[in-house]
Amino acid sequence: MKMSCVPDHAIQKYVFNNPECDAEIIKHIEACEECKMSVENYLLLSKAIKEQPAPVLEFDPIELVFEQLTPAAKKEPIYSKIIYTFLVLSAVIVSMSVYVFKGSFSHFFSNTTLFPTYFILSIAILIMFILCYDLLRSFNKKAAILNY
Amino acid sequence: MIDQETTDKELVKKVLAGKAFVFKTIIANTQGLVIQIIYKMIKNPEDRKDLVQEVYLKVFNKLSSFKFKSKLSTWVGTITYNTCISFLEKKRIPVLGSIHNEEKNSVETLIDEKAIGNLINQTDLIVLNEERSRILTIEIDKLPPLYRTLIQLFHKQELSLNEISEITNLPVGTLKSYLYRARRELKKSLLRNYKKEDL
Repeated sequence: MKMSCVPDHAIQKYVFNNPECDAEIIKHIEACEECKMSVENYLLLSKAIKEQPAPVLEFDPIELVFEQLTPAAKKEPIYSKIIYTFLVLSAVIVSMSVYVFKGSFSHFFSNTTLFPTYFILSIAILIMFILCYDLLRSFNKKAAILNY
Repeated sequence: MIDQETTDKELVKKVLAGKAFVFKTIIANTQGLVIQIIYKMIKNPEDRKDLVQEVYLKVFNKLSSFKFKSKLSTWVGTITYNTCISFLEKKRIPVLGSIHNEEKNSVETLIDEKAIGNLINQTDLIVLNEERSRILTIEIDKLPPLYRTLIQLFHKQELSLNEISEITNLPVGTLKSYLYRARRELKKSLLRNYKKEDL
């Protein structure tokens, strides 16, 4: 019994994924003029797509990308400027406070014994270090997010 | 393949070591694929330009995370494809368009296919005229963005189904099905166009 013409998806499978094609279908296509014509049409379509000219670019991708990469590499990020300004301001405020209150500051620890003074100072320094570390860590994390 | 991998590794190493100018070679090696994907998925010329820039800046910034599990070009292709998909989603442009709903009308489709098959035989494939390329470009552009891209990657870039699967993150079976529908739709629309011109 002669097999009727194979459906379009089988023709496409024969043309583009031949190893997956059924032996029965291959046998039919090779014997049927109508199916052979369909195969030929798909081959021509594929060839026509392959021969299409590449898109014409109105810009140079390398130039376009390096325009962005070069300034990004040279330019100092704005957040580092803010940090430095903040640090300088803090230093100025602390120095001014020490200068203004230097009279009363010298008597601050005079009435206390040495041990509690060192104890308070060491705790204060420890807390300050922890806070600075946490601040630096969250800053780096945010900077990394901003920079993709 | 080994040579390609070595070249990829050398290029990436140099860029990561601070030789940013080597990135020019990476752009030159991959721009064909990147441009084919962007040009097929995005229609607006300004958006295309912005996306080319965005893709390569992402590649540059993420280069340290490239693990050499695939070819560098495939990895760049994946970034390009994902960037385009995100862009289309933001703009609410459907990636698959209306063709995706065709499954519902399978009987109608079968009848159409038969009629079309006969017409092609009678006309001896209309795309073989001197305006073939122009007509083909117009008709490919009428396909949904994803189908346009798949046709281009498979037929023009001659990528394997596995490579396309890596780029698009779609299973090979789905790709085959999309490619089949895309080619069938292309054939249909070519004939529709031909008939209009003929009349």
